[in-house]
Amino acid sequence: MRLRPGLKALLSVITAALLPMASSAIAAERAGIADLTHLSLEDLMNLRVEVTSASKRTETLGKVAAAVSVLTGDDIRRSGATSIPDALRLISGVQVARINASKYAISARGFNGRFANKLLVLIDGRSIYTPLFSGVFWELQDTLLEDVDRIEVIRGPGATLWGANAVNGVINIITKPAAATQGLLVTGAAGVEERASGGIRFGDAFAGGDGHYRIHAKHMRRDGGLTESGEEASDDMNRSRFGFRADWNSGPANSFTAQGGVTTGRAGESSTMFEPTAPFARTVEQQDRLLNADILGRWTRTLSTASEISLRAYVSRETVHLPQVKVTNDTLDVEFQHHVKPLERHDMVWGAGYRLHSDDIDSTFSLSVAPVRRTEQVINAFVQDEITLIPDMLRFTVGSKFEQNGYSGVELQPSARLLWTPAADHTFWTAVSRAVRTPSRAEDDIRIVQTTRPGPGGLPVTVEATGQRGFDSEDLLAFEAGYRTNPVANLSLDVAAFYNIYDNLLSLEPQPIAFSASPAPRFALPLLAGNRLSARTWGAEVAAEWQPIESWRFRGAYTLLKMDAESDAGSGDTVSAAAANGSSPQHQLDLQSSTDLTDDIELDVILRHVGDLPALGIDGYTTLDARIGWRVAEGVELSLVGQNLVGGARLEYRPEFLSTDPTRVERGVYAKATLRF
Amino acid sequence: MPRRSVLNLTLEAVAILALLLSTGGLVPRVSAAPSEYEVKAAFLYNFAKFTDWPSAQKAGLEPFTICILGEDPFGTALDMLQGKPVDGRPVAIRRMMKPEDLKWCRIMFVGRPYADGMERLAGYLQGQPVLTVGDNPGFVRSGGMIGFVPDDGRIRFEIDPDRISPTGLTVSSQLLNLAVIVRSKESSGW
Repeated sequence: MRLRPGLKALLSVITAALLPMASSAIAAERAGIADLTHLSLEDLMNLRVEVTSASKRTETLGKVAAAVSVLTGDDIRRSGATSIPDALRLISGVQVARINASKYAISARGFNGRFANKLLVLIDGRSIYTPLFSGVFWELQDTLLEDVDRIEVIRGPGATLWGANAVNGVINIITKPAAATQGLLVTGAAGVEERASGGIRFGDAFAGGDGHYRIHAKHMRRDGGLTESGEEASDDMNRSRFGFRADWNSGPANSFTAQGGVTTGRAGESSTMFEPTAPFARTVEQQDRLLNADILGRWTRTLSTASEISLRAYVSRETVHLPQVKVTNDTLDVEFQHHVKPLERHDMVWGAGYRLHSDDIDSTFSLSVAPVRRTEQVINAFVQDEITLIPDMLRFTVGSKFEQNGYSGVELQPSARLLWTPAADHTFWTAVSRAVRTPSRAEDDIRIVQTTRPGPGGLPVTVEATGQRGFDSEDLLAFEAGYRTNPVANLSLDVAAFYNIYDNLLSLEPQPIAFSASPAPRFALPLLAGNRLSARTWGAEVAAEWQPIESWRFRGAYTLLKMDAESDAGSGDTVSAAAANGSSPQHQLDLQSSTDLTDDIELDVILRHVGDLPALGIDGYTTLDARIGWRVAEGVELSLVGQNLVGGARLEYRPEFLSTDPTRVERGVYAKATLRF
Repeated sequence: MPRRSVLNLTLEAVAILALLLSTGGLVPRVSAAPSEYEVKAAFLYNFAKFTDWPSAQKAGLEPFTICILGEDPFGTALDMLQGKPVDGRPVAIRRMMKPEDLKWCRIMFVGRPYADGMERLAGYLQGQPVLTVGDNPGFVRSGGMIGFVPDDGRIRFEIDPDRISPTGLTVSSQLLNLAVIVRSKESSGW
């Protein structure tokens, strides 16, 4: 009962806040028209619009039958994030945890880990998924953040269009077209944790204005974190990147894009290495060597206002030298897509693709892979039809992906989605989908020593996670529903809920201990990869955005994630279920305020709370980032960013499988200057 | 007791939600993404600010007139510019069905059906210090000065500087830097 007066007061405050907001909204948007004349030309050019011209398939967020969030390049700039993983922290429903200065665990809707394998990540349509473990080496991924146009995140399965491994979500990082990055840009930053970084970009036109290009180079150096005992750790990272992009048109119907880049770097880490001779385990400090190189070409041809084809091809190489393993992985990928409106109420996309993977792996006693080289190919085809059942009211989307891979054979990944828009500002959607996570080298061919003990006869006794060729795909059946609304012009609300049923998940089945002679004599207890774990997950993501006045925007997001994983009957795995249940946060809360104090001064404050990870012994934390930006003159911007300002140094994650020492994330401050000519 | 608090909380939440929804009924609806023509109207305002008209036109105190020739695709989006300052003058919007009255116009947005016959209209307007803007496919190539082109959900614009300079208009380099430069063949110097 004592709550009541407080709530009354709260209600009256909210009422008082809402009423003037409603009337100012009326004044500002006479006849429902938004006044955008205060925006600069650059801002206008970067604005996504509800295009009424029928030729493009652009969809506004309100009309997608899936849980989608978008982070714009401007959001990233204002957050002060210095890397792609840190930018992803701003997106509701995405779980990001830093393991050390260069390594991250990133997932959506659970199953997080350094080797999280249920999320598909693309940069401009190029999958940065590595077939070594069906996940992403985040330390290899970099681009000039000023080039990022937006990051689109689809939570939940996107397998029908994107294919295997788009199980729990798809992250699509999209860079700006070259025409939007013309002229010269120079940035430089220096700070305590984000030690030093600099970037330069130049863009110009060619072919008489029919084409544009840009080139960029950047370098960053990040200080290491603290060890668990609070000492300075040796996980410093430095990374350089050179990249380019060119877009051009040939006539009104054909457009081309070519882009590519090389990322190189070194990342320190401290790791436990296991050996077949005494003392059996020792700690090594090493600089991991990183290399990523990629080149991509895309051709789009408009056949008519209702038909467009595109062809995309890329090759990429990634090389990582970790203490335990040296991996080189090459990918060739070609995809054809046709977007067509064959009938009045049908909007179809169909396509086919081919991918070739080839790797070369240099093993140690701690981690070995046999065979050393493996080449696999994936052939796929997909079709999706968006059917308007009632114009502007009810839409049904149905489709499937068919994929043939060398590990598990043919996979079928259908989905059906329904979108109901009873009124212009109220959208309901629901979906049911099947998605699979196909096996990777990790489950087929790998052997990772988890621990060593001295044993009889001076030989070690090891516990080893061991792959086996019989490993099958992991399955998901997902049920989702969501609601989006704009009750008033300056307020939007997005709610999504899901219920996921996973089967055939990876379990580690203990086998009898046995003498093993290769690669070194030892007594080994293998934990053989099996498909005997099941899980149910359910939860909700709520995101709201409120702009009470022109110069102030407030965003809030809350993520609830419940997991219930358990071993199937007959499984000897007593560990994986608990690990899965306790290594993604149940609650996550983000609050973000963006204010334009004057025309030239911006103030951004981000408050984040992440719940604890009981399986890893990691406490929840609350932290605060703040940025103040000052536009000194046309084309000159200075900013001061404070990161992790409250709560002290914290451990965010512990890696599974590889015994890399996690480090604490510290408070940091950096200053940055950006010049545009 | 805790049950009661939860009930109160729920009631308050419902009240707040009802309030939000009811204000929703009073306020005109504006969707999350701006509409195509709201953005194009804002572009027109920027074109006005980044272009210099010959000094002869600067005398007097006439409003800064933006004309729409033919069909008006903007709806009411353009009226928002009405009265805003350009060059110290208030913007006026005029809708015309025939090109005769163009001496009033600083900027002319060419709608249908004129946009379809831009070659003819360009000949008619030749040498006049009127900035012609349109969004027909191929508007600039067929004789217009600035044309909007859709690009992956965004709006970009093409400019033909060779068509603008003979009229005495000067477009700022900032505008040219952001534009796709199109040089139509007939004006390429032969």
